[in-house]
Amino acid sequence: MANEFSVLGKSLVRKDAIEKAKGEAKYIADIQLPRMLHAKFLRSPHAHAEIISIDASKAEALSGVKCILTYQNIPRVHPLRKFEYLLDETVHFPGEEVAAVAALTSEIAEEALKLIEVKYQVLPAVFNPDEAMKPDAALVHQEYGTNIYHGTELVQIPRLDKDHWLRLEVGSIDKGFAEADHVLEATFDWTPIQYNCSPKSRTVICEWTGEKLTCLADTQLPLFLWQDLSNCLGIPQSNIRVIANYAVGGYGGKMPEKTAILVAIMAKRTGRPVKAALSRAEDFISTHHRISYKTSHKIGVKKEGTLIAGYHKIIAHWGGDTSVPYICQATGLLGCTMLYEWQNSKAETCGVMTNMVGYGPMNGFGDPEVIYSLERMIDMVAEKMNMDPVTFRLKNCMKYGGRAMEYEQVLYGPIQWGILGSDLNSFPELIAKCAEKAQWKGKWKGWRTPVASYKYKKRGIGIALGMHHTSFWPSSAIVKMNQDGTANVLSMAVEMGQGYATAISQVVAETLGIRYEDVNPILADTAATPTSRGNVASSGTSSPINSAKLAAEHVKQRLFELAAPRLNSTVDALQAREGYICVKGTDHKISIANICLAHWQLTGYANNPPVESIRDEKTGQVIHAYAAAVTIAEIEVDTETGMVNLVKLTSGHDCGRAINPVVIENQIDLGVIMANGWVRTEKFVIDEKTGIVLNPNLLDYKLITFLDMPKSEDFQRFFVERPCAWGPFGAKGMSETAMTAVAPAIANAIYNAIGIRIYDGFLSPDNILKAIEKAAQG
Amino acid sequence: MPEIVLKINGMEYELKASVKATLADVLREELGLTGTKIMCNEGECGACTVLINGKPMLSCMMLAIDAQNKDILTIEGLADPVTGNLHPLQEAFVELSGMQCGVCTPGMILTAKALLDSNPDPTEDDVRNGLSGNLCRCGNYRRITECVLEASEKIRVGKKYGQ
Amino acid sequence: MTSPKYFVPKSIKEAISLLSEFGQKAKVISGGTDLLMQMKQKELLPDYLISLGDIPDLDYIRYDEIMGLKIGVLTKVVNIANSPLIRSKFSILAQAASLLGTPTIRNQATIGGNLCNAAPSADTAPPLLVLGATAKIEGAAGGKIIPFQNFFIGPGQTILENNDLLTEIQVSNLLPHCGGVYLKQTRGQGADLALVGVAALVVMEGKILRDVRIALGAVAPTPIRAKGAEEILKGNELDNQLLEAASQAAVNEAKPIDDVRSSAGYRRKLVAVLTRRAVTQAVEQAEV
Repeated sequence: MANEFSVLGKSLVRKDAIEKAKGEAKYIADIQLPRMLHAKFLRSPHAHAEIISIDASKAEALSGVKCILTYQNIPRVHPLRKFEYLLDETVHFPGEEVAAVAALTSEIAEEALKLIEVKYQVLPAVFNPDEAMKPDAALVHQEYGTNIYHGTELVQIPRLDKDHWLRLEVGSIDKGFAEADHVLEATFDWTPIQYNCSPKSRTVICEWTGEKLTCLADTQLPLFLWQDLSNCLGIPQSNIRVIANYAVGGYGGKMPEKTAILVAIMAKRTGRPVKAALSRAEDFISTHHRISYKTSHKIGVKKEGTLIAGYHKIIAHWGGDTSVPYICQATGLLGCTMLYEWQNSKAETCGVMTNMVGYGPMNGFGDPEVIYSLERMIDMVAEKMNMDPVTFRLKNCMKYGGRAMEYEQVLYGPIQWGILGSDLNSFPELIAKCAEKAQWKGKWKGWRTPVASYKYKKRGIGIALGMHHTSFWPSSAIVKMNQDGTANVLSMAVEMGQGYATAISQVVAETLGIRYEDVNPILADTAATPTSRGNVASSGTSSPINSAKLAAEHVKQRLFELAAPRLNSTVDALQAREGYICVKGTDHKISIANICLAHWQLTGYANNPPVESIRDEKTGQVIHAYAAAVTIAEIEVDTETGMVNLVKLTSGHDCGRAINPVVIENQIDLGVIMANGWVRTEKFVIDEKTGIVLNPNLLDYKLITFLDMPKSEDFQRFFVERPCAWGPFGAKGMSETAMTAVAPAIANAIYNAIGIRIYDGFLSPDNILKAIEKAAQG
Repeated sequence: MPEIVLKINGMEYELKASVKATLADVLREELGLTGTKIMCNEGECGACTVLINGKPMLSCMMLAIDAQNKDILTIEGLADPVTGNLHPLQEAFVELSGMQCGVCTPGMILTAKALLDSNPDPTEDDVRNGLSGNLCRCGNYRRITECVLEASEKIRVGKKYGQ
Repeated sequence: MTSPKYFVPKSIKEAISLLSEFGQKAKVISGGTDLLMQMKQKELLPDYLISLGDIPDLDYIRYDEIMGLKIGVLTKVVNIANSPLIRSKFSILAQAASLLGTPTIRNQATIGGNLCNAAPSADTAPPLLVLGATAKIEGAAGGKIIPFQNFFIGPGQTILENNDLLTEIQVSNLLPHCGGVYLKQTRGQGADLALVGVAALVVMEGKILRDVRIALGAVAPTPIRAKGAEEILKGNELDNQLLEAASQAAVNEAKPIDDVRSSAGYRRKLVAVLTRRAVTQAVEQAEV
């Protein structure tokens, strides 16, 4: 399939490779501007408190301090969808910003923080979401009346029921359970809260020139930050330039934070650029983390192994506030409903607030958290049916034609199911291939029968499926031809390591028929690049890159129109390849550079078509954008210490069309490692009484290392290509999908090894050992 | 503030530095050598690794004043200053996509360089163990291993043919 | 916002004189990895920093048949881990050194720093305890040699006075048919502090455990010898029952706490498991 393309499908050198290998790539933390001030934030030591008074006079008097912000001297505005004001009179989690200082050096700013006197009236706080749901629980937001989120005056979620739950139903689960031959149910404990842990802690620089603001922001959503700055500062977007092309390692998590707005205000007041670089510890405690779910599943199955009913309940732990209310959960409800072809299903969820830092998007965004438990549940059902877990999944998994919808419809309606496209024929292929590569047949010896046993070590194998949306969204792009026949593609989405700059360049080069080396992407600059949402929801490939392809086609059409008379031919008879436009089937050609030098008006632009226009050829139904994954994990448990070693991992993914195979493999690796960290090593330790994070550092919050992963020969990842109906050349995003099947595969493998089902979220050796001991006691 | 002299990438830099300033701070803030990255700033991640007399050390866990009288190599000093040719490790990382966000990359490359300088024909285990103190949040471990092994072969072949 | 004053003494005598002058306001710095960690995490700034890097003849590994092994206090942990001499004659110490931190940390960290920082989890401590190692200390009042048994007095505290310097670590030759193993339990497969560390040294006489020494790290205010466990095994042939009893005795002697890294309960279980495994492996090593 790759042969028909000149640059697509090739593992070409990344656009950012050389600068990163040489240490020349500049991140925001690396940038210094003349007269730049340094900002630091005073943070609340209390989880819940009213600020009775703030006296910053001593701090202001400190030599070198240029500006101090408190709730008293800034606009009373709500940042992006949040409950709270920019700086609030009430703090809702330990570490929340109470004041901001800009000074000549970081050191002076930190000294100034110590001189700000704050008197707090400590209020009752709640940290445990189970506790927070009780009717007599302390209220996280006192005026709100409840800890169950149900919208605010700024945020409406139309499909929330009166009891504040969000529900999605297909068919009738009562009927389904009645018809089932077997019904199983289980509850799974809270999934781990995971720290985003971007390699660079959040950094932002703001600088004003007259009334115009430039913000160098470490964000993957320049569009949202742009809007947020405009709303909070009360200035038009046309005067705001957010540049995010130094952003790094977002993993879904670099949403706009209030830091940028506070820094912008200080930059205006001081007339100097201001830089705020959070320390690692601050980044830990004050930026949002992965949402946490406690889930229950009830599944009805017929005796021949068909899933007939699925009920899923998700209680989501929110922390104090969020800028993405219910979005993760809407995703999770769809994940439950769509991953298997239930005839009847009902999924419902509520969001519980506590006095901890709020959650936000993070790789997978609401799907991994529920697929983790769903796939353990499915294993339980397969075991009950005495079916091989691979066979059971093949029988019931989602396929082409299965029901599909966008998560926004779950929140806002209307509930209009579309379908999964023919690209999802990949799923059965992925499952079969994964099983073959992992040598499933040889290793799987049956339920509760380990792959191998030696002294105190037991080896097990497990499989899980995963899926996630790859969002097809409104997006615009420009492709402009330079006079030498090279091109620049302008797009608001962000290169933060995932390979966006590379992929968009390959697509544009392929479309235009010029060399990959001759395309330079200009990204993530709200003043210059056409609007698109930025990189979330694995939409980069699907959405902004698709608009770039359309923009390239637009300008190619113009190039052909100019070339045709010079080649004595017609537009339809032309093709472009390697920098030349030629008449098909002949040697007659003209260089694109030639055309560009002679003609100046060579700018292509395009907007994506609406989602509703993407229709299935056979049925005419609307296709929604999803990707699938399969992971098989082989682990070894030390039954005396509870330690789990990952021995082999095989992971398969569908990507529609591989733009750059190596980049795709790298993204699979990211999801795999992140999922491993999520359930095996990355543990937030939080003081039960104060809500304070006790391990805001990388010594005690353990990331996965080289040695936690299997060696190369035991770590296989692969992808299959079935072009989708909407993405550029049929390519679709897959990065978040890569995370979704890994954790449950590991959990299922542990079950195979030790015969004990772990319902915990975090697979700590301590938990596993306790489970082994409990089972031994009978 | 004491005056110190640091020998970095073959050049001498005279500057004033606070006693408590780390080598990483001085490289990045005073000397503009921002190729050395800071990820955790407390010696847990290896991102700030530089070579001191050929040995990898954590520049964020070393006082600048203690780094005097030593040969310091940062990522900026790895490519050939005259020809601009990349070190085989840099070439391998470029060709095989050894990075994603790139923050761990300079530290990885320098640690790997020291590894290959002392062990020109490493096994995969040697590479994994040697780099085990370098964290990659983007999860590129398998790819990085591939790059280092590829570079080691390039270097061995290059030596064989007198390059 | 002050910065420490920095001194680079050229001799032990000069270093001691500086330490006498500045007392508690001064901190010694060698590799710097622990000190900088503390400076950053606790935001502690000593008023005076005394760098030992220029003092000659504190970085060495020496051995002779009679006096045994002598290690200078500024010897880098990596050199201990890689020393062919230590690996062959005192392998337990090389093993522990190879498990300390990451490969890069080992290039910077010194054995003196690891010992004087006196974390209960210090990796080089349990092996030195079972090796019966001694510490050479020089101070204003002169020099002394004390067993490492008495060196650690509390978490982060050693017997050193403000103006004492640890200068050398001494290990006597071991008897033949000796095996020593250090096992360290961590949270993952990568570098970590020990949740529990167990060192076991045995001297065999045929099948009899002529001498047994067991030391535990990270489960008491200091690294400790588990003498009760040792007594159960000494003079006997190794069997499962005795091993089990010894492991339980070790658990009883440990005083682990709940902290951010682990729970006391889990640590107790690990003490039992690691004691059993360390003794078994030490015996296997001795029999080779």
